[in-house]
Amino acid sequence: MLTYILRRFLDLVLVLFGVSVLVFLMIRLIPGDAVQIMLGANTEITPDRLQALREKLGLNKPLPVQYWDWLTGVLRGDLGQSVWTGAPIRDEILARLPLTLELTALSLILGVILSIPIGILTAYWRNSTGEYLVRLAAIAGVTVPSFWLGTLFIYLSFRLWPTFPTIGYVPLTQDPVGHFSRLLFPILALSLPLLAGLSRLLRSTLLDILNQDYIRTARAKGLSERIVLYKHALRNALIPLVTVVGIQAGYLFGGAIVVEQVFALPGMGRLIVGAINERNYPLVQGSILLVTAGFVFINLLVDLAYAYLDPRVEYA
Amino acid sequence: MRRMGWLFLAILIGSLAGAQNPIRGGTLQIAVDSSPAGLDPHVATAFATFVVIGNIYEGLTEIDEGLRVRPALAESWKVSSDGLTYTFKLRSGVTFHNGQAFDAKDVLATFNRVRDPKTGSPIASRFNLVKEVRANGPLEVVFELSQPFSPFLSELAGLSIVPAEYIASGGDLQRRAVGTGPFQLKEWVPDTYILLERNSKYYRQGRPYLDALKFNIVPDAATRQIGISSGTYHFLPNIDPSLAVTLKNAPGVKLYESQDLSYSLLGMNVTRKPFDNPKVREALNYAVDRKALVQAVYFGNGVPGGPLSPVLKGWASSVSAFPCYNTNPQKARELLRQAGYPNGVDFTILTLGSVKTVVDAAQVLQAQLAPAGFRAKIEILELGKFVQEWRNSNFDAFASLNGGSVDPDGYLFRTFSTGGSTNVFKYSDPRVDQLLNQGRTATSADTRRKIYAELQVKLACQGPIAHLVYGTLFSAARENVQGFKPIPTRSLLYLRETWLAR
Amino acid sequence: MSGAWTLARGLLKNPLGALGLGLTLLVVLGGLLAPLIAPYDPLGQDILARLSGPSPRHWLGTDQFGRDVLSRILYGIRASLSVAGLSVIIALLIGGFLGVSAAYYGGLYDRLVMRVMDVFLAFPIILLAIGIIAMLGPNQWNTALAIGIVYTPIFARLVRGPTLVLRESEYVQAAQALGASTLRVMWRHLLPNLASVILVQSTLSLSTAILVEASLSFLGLGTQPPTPSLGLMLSEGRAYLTLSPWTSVFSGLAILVASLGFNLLGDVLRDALDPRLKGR
Repeated sequence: MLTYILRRFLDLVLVLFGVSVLVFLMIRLIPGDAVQIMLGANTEITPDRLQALREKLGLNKPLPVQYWDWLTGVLRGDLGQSVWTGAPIRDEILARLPLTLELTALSLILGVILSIPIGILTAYWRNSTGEYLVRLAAIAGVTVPSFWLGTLFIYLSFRLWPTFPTIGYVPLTQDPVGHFSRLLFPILALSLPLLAGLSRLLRSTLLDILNQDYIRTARAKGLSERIVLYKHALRNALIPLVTVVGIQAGYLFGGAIVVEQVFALPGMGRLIVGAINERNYPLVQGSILLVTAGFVFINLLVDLAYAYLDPRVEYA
Repeated sequence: MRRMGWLFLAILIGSLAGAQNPIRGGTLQIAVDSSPAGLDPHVATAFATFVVIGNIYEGLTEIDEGLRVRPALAESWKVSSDGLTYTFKLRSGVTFHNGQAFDAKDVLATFNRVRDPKTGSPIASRFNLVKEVRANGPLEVVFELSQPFSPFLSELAGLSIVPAEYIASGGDLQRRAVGTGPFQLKEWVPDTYILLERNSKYYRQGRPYLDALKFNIVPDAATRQIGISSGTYHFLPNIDPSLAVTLKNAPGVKLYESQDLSYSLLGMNVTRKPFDNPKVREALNYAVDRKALVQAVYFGNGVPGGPLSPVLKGWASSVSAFPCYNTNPQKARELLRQAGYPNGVDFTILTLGSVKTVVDAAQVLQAQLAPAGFRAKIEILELGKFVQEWRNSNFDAFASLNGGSVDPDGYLFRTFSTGGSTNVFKYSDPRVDQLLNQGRTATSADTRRKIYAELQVKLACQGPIAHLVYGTLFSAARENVQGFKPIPTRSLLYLRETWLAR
Repeated sequence: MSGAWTLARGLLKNPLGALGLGLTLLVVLGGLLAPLIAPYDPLGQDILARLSGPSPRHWLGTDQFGRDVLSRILYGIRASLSVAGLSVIIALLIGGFLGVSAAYYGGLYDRLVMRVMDVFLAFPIILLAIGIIAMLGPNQWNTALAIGIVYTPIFARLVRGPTLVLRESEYVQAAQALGASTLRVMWRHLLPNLASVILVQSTLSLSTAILVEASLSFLGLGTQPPTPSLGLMLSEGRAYLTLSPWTSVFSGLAILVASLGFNLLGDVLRDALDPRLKGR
């Protein structure tokens, strides 16, 4: 087990290294003189300013040196400074990250919770009209773009219940009710697309399990169908869901970027999109690296958790 | 009985007056689409920045809703008969938001900072004709000009006064703000909101009525629209005409209208084919149907205009003075043929993607220009990239929204004079330069009018810019927002008079 | 080929499969035949008729410039499907090649390729697409390329597994012992086995590619105006919801139908081809 963990950890490090190189190159390959663009949108460009900024960002130095400087800084915990506000990027990210994490985590949880009954129903009613309808509904949830769902929710909520606050952000400490009410629709918009995939996985796992020996034994023992289902089948069926969590988290972040725009939520998504537009090199690199590292880490945890939970997995 | 009648009348009148009386307090929830990158008033160029700092900083003068110059930090002024010396008497008892007292040294320090090349201020060139500034005691400032400069007083409205000691000690003006205005910076949460709170020591008695202004950053237009309909937001300043149209019949929402100094335009690079030929530029003007643009892009809320905004009554010539404004695709084709392009021309229009009006206009233009032989390809750029290409004159043509100025000289000079600060078209015409210089130094209003009339005719059809439409400037507010007046410069000056009714 | 027929019959028996097949065909035909059946030029403006609802002249109404919504949707389907289709083809070809070759040749090459795939997979999809489009510039074809690159690792991983298994299998060992060339071996034995997983994944990827394109258009990074694209129409239409929701409603419906069709198809195919679920 230990060797497995160590090996996976080594993989993680290698992948992160690759990610850092990719991120570093990607932002620099975007056409246009970055420094001009960084300044241009908001102030007057003077040769002095251009030069000063270039030096400050170290853009005069050869690429490998820039990369090394940046990487060593990151490892020390210093992600650099934002071109505009001059604030440390670490602070800017930390100010926004919790909200995106909250969105992603809550959407995931809601998705899992909602997909359990759907998975059970579709497994139980196999090949019946009911199953088809439910499956159709679940799949329909995944075929609508999240920005559309978002606007639709805001619009419907405004029509049906005008005083319900749907837009903007209120910190948890300031007003818990306001905080969560504003997150309700974003979370809904993000979790609905998950239902299709999660419930399908649950369904096939359940079907798998329900045909196995120990289930037949339980039935033969005369236990009611309900106990068979819940006590034995379901618990084991939930385990493979763990694997999907890692992948879905990645999709969720993409959805979060869009949803944050629609609901005016100040999360990582808006930070990154804005930073790319402004060619804010340090901010783009730092935030994308952090987000990606986060997901790689989550996937590692997921793999480890799965390996731990499922006695059938070998650590070959 | 009679006494009761008088009493009753008195109460009636009193309560009516009370209904008009401003109520103190409350936070105005404003929604804007983007946040300023920094708050330094001397280097700002983006609309989003001015909307915020306009409430924090003030100049010696200010512009009111009729585009008249009014006293602000300067109580009064005298102009010498030769037009070269301006003497300002400063208001006493004014303090900055950090408690430092305002006096003449602050005006000097501000002026020097703006003129310092290291600051890189975009408004520095507006004061080129100022030879010297000096203080005559703590409450009097004298400006000596090298030549008479009629727009001087209106240009001073754009010079935001900052405290001398603060900038001398290297104070940061990008992330902090220290002004004399009715509101001061309380909190700035990036990407989320900017909170300005009431300046209790503001020199205008009793103003502002509001406790605070909260600028919420809401990037999505549909969300802003629903936000104000549902009452989440009270005020949407300077909105697109398409957004205004959707809000026209929204219950609980009212629209403020004023004419705009800004306008949509198609700019042409006169150093590149085919626009190096004035016949081609004229042909393009004939091909454009401005009236249709007003319908298509502005939903009927706007007017075609030339180089000067129709809101500058007395300066702006009527469009009937510009023959090329009579849409005529055949004439356009004929002119192209004369210019040596019998088969029409192909070119690219760089489009400023961050303003919906511009994106819409580009699409409509593309359709209008094609039958006349102008085959355009649209390339939409986000703000940063657009500004870069614009600055480097790296375009065939571009579509954008430009701000005008209160005095005709401001806009015309920097755009059309050889080497003007926003003359990215590389346009240069000796007669135009001559007229521009005469215009800014002439002292008689009549002389100036004649000069600018000639300039407009010269520039409208053969200049580097096809001026398109001056749209109606809309702001949307909840019904209970009172006291606000829109200004064609897009300034939110009157937020200091605004209050929230129950 | 008879396998294909039994497959099709099996699909049609399942009501969801029939629905999926039907929707997919509807959408594909619509897109293919757009130039022939669209009643108006999708770029043709008619300001006086703007933002109107369904009428005899304009069956699905008009948008903010008076352009016919039906025509724009047909061309938009054409555009969205082209982008989605191209992106899946790119991912299939590159990913397929990488995955198969990595499994076949093994060793350091295998480890290297898979690591690189892991790096790309680590990125959230939209973020990677945004980055690539920022590099190449936003237009239809770059969008297809970006999505294709983003999907490549998925296909690579997908085909690697079965290839590994097959490499050790008896058929292949025997064929190699008999001197058959590597290419021949792959062609005759590998491809048929991979066909089913590739088919399933392709239909599912088509379904999500349509959505990714829509989201990118929302962010202004996909198809650029005035070219019609379902995602762009949906995004732009939101501004006029209270005045005239038709553009949004119908383009949203079109996205739904297209994505749903492919998704159902893939879903049912997956069940049909999954040996574990057979015969129950």
